Amino acid sequence: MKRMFLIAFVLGLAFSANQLPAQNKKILETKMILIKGGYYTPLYKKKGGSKSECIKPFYFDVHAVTNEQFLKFVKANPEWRRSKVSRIFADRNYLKDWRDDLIPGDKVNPLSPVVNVSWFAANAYCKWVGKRLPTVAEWELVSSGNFLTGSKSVINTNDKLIKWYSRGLPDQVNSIMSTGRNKYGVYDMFGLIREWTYDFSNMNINGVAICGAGSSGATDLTNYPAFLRYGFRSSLKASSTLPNLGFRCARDFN
Amino acid sequence: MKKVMNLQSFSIIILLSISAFIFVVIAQGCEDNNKTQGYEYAKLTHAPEVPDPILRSHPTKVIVNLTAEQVVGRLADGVQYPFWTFGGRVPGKFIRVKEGDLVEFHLHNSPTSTMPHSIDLHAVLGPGGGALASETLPGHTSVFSFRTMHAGLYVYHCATQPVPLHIANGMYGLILVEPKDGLPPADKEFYVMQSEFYTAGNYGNSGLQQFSMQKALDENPTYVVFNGSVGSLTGNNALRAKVGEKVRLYVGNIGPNKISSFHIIGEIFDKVYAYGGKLVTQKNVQTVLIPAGGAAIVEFTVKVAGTFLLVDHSIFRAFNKGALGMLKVSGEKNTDIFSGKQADELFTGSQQEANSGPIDEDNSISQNEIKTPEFDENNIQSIIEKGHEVFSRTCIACHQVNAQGLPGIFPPLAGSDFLNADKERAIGIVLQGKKGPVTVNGKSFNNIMPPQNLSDQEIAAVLTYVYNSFGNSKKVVKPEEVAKVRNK
Repeated sequence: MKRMFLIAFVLGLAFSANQLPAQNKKILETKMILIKGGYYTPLYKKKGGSKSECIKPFYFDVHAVTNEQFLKFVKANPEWRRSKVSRIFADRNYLKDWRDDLIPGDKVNPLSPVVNVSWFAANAYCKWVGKRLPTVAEWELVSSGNFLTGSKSVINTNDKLIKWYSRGLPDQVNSIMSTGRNKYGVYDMFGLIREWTYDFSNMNINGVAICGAGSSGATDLTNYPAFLRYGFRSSLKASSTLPNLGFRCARDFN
Repeated sequence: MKKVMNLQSFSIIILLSISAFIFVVIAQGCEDNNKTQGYEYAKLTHAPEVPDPILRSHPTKVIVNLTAEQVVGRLADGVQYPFWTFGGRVPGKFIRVKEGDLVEFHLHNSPTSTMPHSIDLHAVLGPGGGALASETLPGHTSVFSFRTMHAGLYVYHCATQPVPLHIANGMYGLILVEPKDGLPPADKEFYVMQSEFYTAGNYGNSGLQQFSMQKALDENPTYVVFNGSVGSLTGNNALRAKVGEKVRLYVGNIGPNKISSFHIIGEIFDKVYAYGGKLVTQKNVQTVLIPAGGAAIVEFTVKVAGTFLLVDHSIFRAFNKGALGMLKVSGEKNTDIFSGKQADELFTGSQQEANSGPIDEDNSISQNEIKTPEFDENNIQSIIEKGHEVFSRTCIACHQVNAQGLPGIFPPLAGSDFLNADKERAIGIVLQGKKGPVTVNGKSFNNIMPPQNLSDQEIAAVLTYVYNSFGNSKKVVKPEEVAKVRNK
């Protein structure tokens, strides 16, 4: 209850500051799920750290931020409009599928995850709605809810994920909540888009992420989907935008 | 005083100018073949083509443009695979540069890619072979430069995490660094690259296949292929050369797991540059071992016409997994080097002893002295002689020496009502084989005859021979008639 009040308060501040009509509030509120936290085994353990990391409880958006939601954000924050955004904060493909600054256009599904957004933009959005980007550890912990247990099932799940990762770009990204929910009750961890994380740029351990060296120090050598995400994140810059990269937000429990 | 100073400085300037002029003249007077001069764009080729040899004698800046693309393509007939490629096909495009060149590499990643890609060239001296320097997001281009310090044939591959998956999906190719003085001329040069594919479905399972993690971990490939697919070098795609030509193959093997035992059935490699290095390391080699992530250059002069099979001599891969290619050589048969089958005689076990004594030198006839008469396609006698030759090597194993067949097993061709009734049917059976029950001269047979791999001319000749022998109906079969049935 206290939490709800806090959100309302923060959002209220944001709205009043930008004179946003009240009916937009509903669109902006993405349902969050409390993830109890637990032990997460990173693909690469931190220097001197233990193999597993303890993750504190946190709230996690059930779905990714949509075009409709992001439109409200750029309306309220002119500096994040396509024509206004600084090249330092987003490369030239920022929101490139949108027809205009404030008109996504007929080809863009309002209920699809917004893509072609930079880390800076995603970070600013989450702040604006009183949240933050999830960490890699949090994101990976939630994504483990998509895995069945048992080594055989893990291989099968890996094959399915690699199949999705290998597939070409779709003409249009499907709507949110179209790929089913995992055991945490969270939608679309796989099958729609890749997602920004807060600490994506810390991925490159020792600056050596190449070839055989990439497997030295890794905790699970057969988790190729995790390596794929690792490779993907480590080649991003905070200003990068890609047609299959969006985000969702998280928030501390306390 | 001031004037003197000026005079002095003036003469110094004159002196400097003259020496500089002399220096320039000397520098221009002798061409420095070690200096990097000018620039050019590398012309890359898809397998099995190889870019033309480099004729310039000085190093230059070579600009290479290569694009990482994810495409769905053919792995075998009816089988598709979501390939990750350098240049849109597997293997990646062939790059040819020269020792001492400065290569300015532009790696593009297609805007339609779903992930970053990079390149590790084994020709590069530097961390990761360029991997980190070339890590490229979709819709981006990375540029890095390297000097080609060592001549040789080198593998390149993607080095983005997880590297084994990027390789298993098709991201590899070859870069040739020619030695300073170039390679000796060859009449034909080809690019052949061996690799494995690990698919969820079994070999030949149709439709769009997916990567199988378990098979890759078990190092149990579903496909082992040359140039990215089953049949990429067979039939109409076969490599071609003429008798007398010197053929050079640039052969790479990426694995990702297996070592190749590269062999060409019916050929001997005159020269082998083992491991793709600079030196000819061995002559007269039958099979070359090519490690995963390695290469070899092999050279041979084709002496005999016919079809020669490229295989990985780990032979189940050639027979069951696709590691098979063809080199079709046109020209003279050259019976002096290879006769073809000369006889197929009954062997009872006692002849061996009978013939094992010393040969009487005076009575022995060297193979070289047997004169093969010239074939004349308009001379019926010549056709029948050729037919007899084809019959002797192809038909008599089953239909027997006098075409009498074997009772209950193989039907007779001698005085055969079935044969004489329908010429076109007979042509069809030689071409396509025959399976199942058939009645000949009132007796029934039920067996299999395989299709015969013979030319139109050979089939026309052998049928004409059979029709004009053994009490048959004396029909004549023309090559055009065979072609007609073949093309039906």
